[in-house]
Amino acid sequence: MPSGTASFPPGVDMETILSTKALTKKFGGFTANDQIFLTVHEGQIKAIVGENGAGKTTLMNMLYGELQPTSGEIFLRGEKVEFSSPRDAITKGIGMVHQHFMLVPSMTVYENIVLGAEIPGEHLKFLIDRKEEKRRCQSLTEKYGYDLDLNEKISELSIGEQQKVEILKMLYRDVDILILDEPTSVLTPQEVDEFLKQLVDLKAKGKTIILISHKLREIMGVSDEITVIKRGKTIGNVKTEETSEPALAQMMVGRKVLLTVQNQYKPTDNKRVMLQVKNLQTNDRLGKLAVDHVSFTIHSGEVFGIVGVDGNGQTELVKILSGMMEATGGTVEYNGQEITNCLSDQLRKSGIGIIPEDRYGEGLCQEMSLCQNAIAGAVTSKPFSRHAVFNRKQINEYCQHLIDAYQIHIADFNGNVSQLSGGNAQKLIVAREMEGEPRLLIACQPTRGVDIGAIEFIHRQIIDFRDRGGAVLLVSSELNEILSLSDRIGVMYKGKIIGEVDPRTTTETEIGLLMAGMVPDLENGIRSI
Amino acid sequence: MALLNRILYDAIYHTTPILLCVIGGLFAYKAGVLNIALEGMMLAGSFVAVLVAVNSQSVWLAYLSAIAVSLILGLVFSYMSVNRKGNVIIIGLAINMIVPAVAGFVLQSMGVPNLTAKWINPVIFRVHLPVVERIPVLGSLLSGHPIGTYISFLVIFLAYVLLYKTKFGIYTRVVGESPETAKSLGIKSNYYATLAILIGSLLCAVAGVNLAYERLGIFTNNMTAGRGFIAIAAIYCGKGEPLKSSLYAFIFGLARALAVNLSIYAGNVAALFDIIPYFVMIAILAVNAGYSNRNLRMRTYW
Repeated sequence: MPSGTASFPPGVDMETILSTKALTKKFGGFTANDQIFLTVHEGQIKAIVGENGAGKTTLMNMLYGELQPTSGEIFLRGEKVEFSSPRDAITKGIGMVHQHFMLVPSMTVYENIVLGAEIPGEHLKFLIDRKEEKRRCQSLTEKYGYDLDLNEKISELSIGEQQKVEILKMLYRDVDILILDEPTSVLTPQEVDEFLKQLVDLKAKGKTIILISHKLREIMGVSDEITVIKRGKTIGNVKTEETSEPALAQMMVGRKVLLTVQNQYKPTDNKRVMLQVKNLQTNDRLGKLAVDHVSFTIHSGEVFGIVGVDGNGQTELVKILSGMMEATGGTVEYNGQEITNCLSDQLRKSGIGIIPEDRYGEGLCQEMSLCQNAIAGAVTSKPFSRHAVFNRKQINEYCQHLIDAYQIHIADFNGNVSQLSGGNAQKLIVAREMEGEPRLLIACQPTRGVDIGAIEFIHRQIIDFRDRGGAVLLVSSELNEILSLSDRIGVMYKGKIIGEVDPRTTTETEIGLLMAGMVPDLENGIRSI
Repeated sequence: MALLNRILYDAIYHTTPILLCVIGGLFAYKAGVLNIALEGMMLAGSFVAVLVAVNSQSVWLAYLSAIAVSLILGLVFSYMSVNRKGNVIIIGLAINMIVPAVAGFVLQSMGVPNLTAKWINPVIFRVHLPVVERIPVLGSLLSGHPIGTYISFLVIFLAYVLLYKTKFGIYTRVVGESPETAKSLGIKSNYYATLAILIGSLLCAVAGVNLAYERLGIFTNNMTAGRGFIAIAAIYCGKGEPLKSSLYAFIFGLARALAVNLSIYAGNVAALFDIIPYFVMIAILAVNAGYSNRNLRMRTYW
C-alpha cells in the first residue's frame, strides 16, 4: 500500500482512489444494492444521496467491510480488495463514522479513540499504557484543532462532541478515506456549519471524504461530486457545480417534488384555546429536571412547533402529553378540562391524536397485521367489536379504506406491519390518528427516516388538518419542517422553552442560536444561558 | 463475644463459594451474557471433585477433573448461547437440571445417599497464616480458612486488574455495553464472550471444590442450595463491579452465617432460620430495584 497519499494537492491530480464494479448485495430475496458502479477521486468530497432505504448505508458497509458483497468487486488504488471485517478496511486506510455513534458511553474520550488499537505497557505487556495513549490522543487533537477533554466520559459529552470523537477515532488509525453516514442529522445549525468547515479542512489535509446525506443543501455546499442512488441502483453521477437542489430531488424520487409545503396561513378570529400547558415538569432517571417549568398554549387552527437539539426534553414533554410518562408538577388543560397525568386511552377518547416519536416502539406493533394495527386504540369501540368479539368484516373494510385514502403501499393485505417501508408505516399511523377525528394532534418527529414522497404527503395532511380547525403540537429536530409548517415556534433547550419566535419573521441563525442556548439580549447582544 | 466471633468467622467461611461464583460470573455479566448456569457448574465441581477423590485418592486429580468438567459445561453453554444464539435461560436451566440428575443417578447406582472421601481430613486444606494468626481476635477470624477462601479474596483484585487494566477486560466490557461498537472495530465479540463465560466456569469449579471437598470431603446432592443464584443477585446489585459485587457476596455470606449460628438456639424451629439468606436476597434485590428506579417517571405496563 503506497503511504504518501497526501502528496497530490487536492483538485489538481484527480486520481481514482476507490471504485466499485457491479457491486451487489442481496438479503434473502431482497436486493439492497444492485450493480453499483461508484468512482471516488482522491482528495475530493464525494456525496452520495438517495432516499431512506435506497441502499446508501448498505453500500458503505460493504466498503467498510461490515457486510460482504454478494457479487461485484471493490478496487482501492486500482487494486482489487476484499474485506472480511472493518479491521481489514481500516488497515487499508478506509474509516467510517456511522449514523449511530459507535462509542462506549461509560468509557473516556481517549479510551474510545484508541479502542481496538490499545498500546501495551513497556514492561508489563499485558497491561495498557494509559499515559502513552493520552499523549498520542493529545497530539492528535492538537494537530486537527479539536477542543476536547480527553478524560471526560462519553456519556457526559454533547452529540456534536461525540461526533468529533468518532472522527478522531478514525484519524487515529490514520485512514485516507473517511466515510460519514448522515453526519449532520443530529447537530444544531451552528454545529453543522462548524462540521462542514472541518470537512473542508480535512480535505485540505489530503483526506478523501465520502459523505452520505439526504440534506441536499449541505451537499450542494461542500461536495465536489454527487452520486444519486435509488432503490439500490446508481442512477446518476454529477459534478456539484452542474446541478441544483430541485434537480437532485427529482433524480432521487423520480418525479417533481415540492421541497417546501404550500402553507398559506389564514388567521381566524374565533380561536379557542385547545391545549394549555402550565409549569409542566418531570425528571429523568437520575432525578434531574428533564422538563423544566414548560408553559405554552395552542389554539384551534394553529400549529405550534417545538424545535431543539435532540435530548433537550422534547421527548419527555411529548411523553407526558401523550400519557407515557408522569409529570411531577404543573398542569395540562385540554379544551378547558384538566388532563394532567391521564392515561393514553383517556386522552384518545377525549379527542387527542398521537403520532409518537418511536414508530415501532410506540406507534405500531410490527408483528401484528395491518388491520390489527389500524384499529389499535379503538379495539373496544362499537363498529369494530361487539360483546367483546371482533367484527372482522368491519375491521377489514376500515383498514382497506385507510390504505386507499392515505395511499399506503402494501404488498399483502393480511400480512404484518413489518412488510411496510418506513414511510408507509408512518402513513398508517397518520391515517389511524387522523381517522379518529381528533381536535388536537400531537406529532413528534413525524417524518424522521421517511422518504421525500411520504414527507410531502404527511406535511400536507398536517396543514389540511390545521386548515380544518385542528390544533397541532409539532415536535421535530428538522428545522426546515418546523419552519415551513408552524405558525408559532418554541425553542427548547435543557428542558426549558427558552424562546418563542414567529416563523414568518425569524431567521435560521436566530433559531440556531436559541437551540444552542444563546438568548438574544436587546441591550448586551447575545447572552448565553 | 464468642458467638459474634463465630458468626464473623463463618461469614468469611460461607462467603467463599459465593464470592468465587460472583467474580467468575461478573465477566459474563460484563460481556452481556446472563449466565444462570453458575449453580449447575458449581454443583458439577463439587460432585466431580469428591467422586474423583473417592476413587483416585489424589488431591490434585480431584481439583483438575472438577475444573475440566465445569469448563466443558461452560463450553456447551457458550457454544449454545454465543455461537448458536440460543436462549440463555433455557440453556442455563438445562445445565442446572442435568447436573443434579446425573449426580443423583451416580449416587443411586453406587447405592449410597452421599459420597464421602474418608481418607480426606479437611484440616489438610486449612491454611494458617504465620503472623496474622497471633493477632488477637482478628487472627482467629482471618487465619485457618481453606485455601479456596484465600484464593477467592485474591481473585477480587485479579478480576479488577483484568477488567480495567488489560485489553481483554476492555474488549469484554465493550462487547457487553456496546456490541455494535465492537463489531465496527472488528473486535471478535464471540471470542470475548466465550472467554468470559469460561472464566465463570473455572471459578465456579473452584467454588464447588471449596464447598464440598475442602471443607467436608463429602458430597450430597443439591448441596449448592441456590448459591449460584445468590451470586447472580450479588452481581446484579453490584452492577458487575468486582468490589461492589464482592461486598454483596459478603452480605449473603453473613446471612448464611447468622442462619447457621442462630439456629443452634432455636430448638425445633431451627430449620426456619435457613430461609434467612434467601430472604435477605429478595429484600436486597427489591430495595436495590426500588432505589435505582426511584426517579423513573416513565410509565411501564407490566
